[in-house]
Amino acid sequence: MLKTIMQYQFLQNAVISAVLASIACGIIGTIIIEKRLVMMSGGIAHTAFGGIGLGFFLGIEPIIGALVITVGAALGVATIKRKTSMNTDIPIGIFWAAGMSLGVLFVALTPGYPPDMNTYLFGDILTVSRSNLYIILSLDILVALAVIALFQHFKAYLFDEEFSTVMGIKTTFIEYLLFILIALTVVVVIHVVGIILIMALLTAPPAIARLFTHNLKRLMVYSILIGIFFTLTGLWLSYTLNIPSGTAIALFISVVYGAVSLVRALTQRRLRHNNG
Amino acid sequence: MTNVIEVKNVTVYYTHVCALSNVNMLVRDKEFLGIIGPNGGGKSTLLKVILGLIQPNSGEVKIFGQPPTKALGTMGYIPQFTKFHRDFPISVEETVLMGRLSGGIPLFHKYTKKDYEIAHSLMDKLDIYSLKDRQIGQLSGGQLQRTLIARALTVRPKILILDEPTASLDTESKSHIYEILEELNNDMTIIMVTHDMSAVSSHIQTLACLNVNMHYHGHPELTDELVNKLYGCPVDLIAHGVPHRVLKEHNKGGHDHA
Repeated sequence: MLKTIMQYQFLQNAVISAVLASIACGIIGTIIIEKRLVMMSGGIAHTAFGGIGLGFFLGIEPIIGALVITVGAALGVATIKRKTSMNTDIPIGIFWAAGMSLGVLFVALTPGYPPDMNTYLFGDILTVSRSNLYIILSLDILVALAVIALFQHFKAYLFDEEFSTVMGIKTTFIEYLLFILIALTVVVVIHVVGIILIMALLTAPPAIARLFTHNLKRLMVYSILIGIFFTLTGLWLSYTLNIPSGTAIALFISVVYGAVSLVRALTQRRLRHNNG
Repeated sequence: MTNVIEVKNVTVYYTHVCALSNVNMLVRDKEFLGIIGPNGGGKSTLLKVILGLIQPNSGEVKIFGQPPTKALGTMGYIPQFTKFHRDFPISVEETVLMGRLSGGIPLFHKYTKKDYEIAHSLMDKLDIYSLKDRQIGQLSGGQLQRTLIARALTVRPKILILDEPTASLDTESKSHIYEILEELNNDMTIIMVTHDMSAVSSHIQTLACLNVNMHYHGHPELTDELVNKLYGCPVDLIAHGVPHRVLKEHNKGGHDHA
């Protein structure tokens, strides 16, 4: 496969985008797990579909449409979280459904032959173009730079929002920034695993990394490495078994996560048994 | 005597529920104030108003004559430790260092050598230095509480604000925490929300009883009438085994709830 990668640019693009997606997902995935924002991130991710539909409808690059709509949705979700005392699961659920429906609506309204939405729903890493790659790379740099530059403040916000506010840390700003970063990450990952499967790449690597470290920085680094392992192995599986890449990656992630959880449950039971 | 905290006619509503109604309170310098009251009585809300985390619907709070948001760095806050996500990936040392963070949005913030020195000496003082690399989930309740006290102290506050610091701690850890607080009280004002009536008798100087309204504020001796009014029933049990009674003797033959 290595030789083929050297030969074909589309495979090079696939490998690079897999690595870039793993970097953004490792960082943001760790944060949303620790802050318990998985459901909200899911809601934001699914509005991206509406953005892609809008992109087709307006005749612009669909990824740009997704970028605009997800950032808008992220700001909306952050405001809902801050302003209402109501259970946020409900508005998030509505966002989720509305985003998907708008995508279908815009595609239906787009004149001419309907575009293939499967690429965006389930990802197709082999179709990542050079221009897509540049968008992904710049978003990746933005996400990584923002978290590195404000790392200690992010940590304080994630761990204890009230104490941080009393310290004069701008927690509202950090929260809005975080939601924008979640939106950017979603856009980075769309091509790699697709909207439906984004949550797998966001949550599984940090969930596994948690078994090996109790340090936030290391957790992010390990998650990135695990993500790279997942995406590249998935890509290889899809290549050799000739199955769709997004599906191969997401299923591989699920199988590994399931196996790791099982092993952990068994060893813990044995530990408890030996101690008791 | 100077007033470090002034709470004037503060009223707080959560949508339609009144959490605090027209509360007034003055706290003097180096006072050790205990706030008691039933659940939902607005104790934590009052602390949050003082800390500037909640804006009151009416009334005002002054800390050293200034609004709370201008009084950054004067207050050290110790939240209810039972409400933490204890599986958060953070060590004791990292937690304590948090108190040295500066406000605003400074980029690429790094703790200085002085920050580490301050944090380490406080951890030493509170007997948690040997635990510095432990993840906070691997601490006992008392150790976590001391970690949070150390974190609040690294701010170098003039006022220490604690929300139920001894909830779910065993007797030994409790008395350890009170010893620490009494020593700290020599240098700073302390406000503590508590359900622990034994503390009311032996450690605090002034008592505030809060149930949406402020029912009492003064010397820590409660009357039956007051407790009845506050909790809606006699809270007799809590005075047992306390060296110096918090509550005056019950009228015999009254309706015993215990």
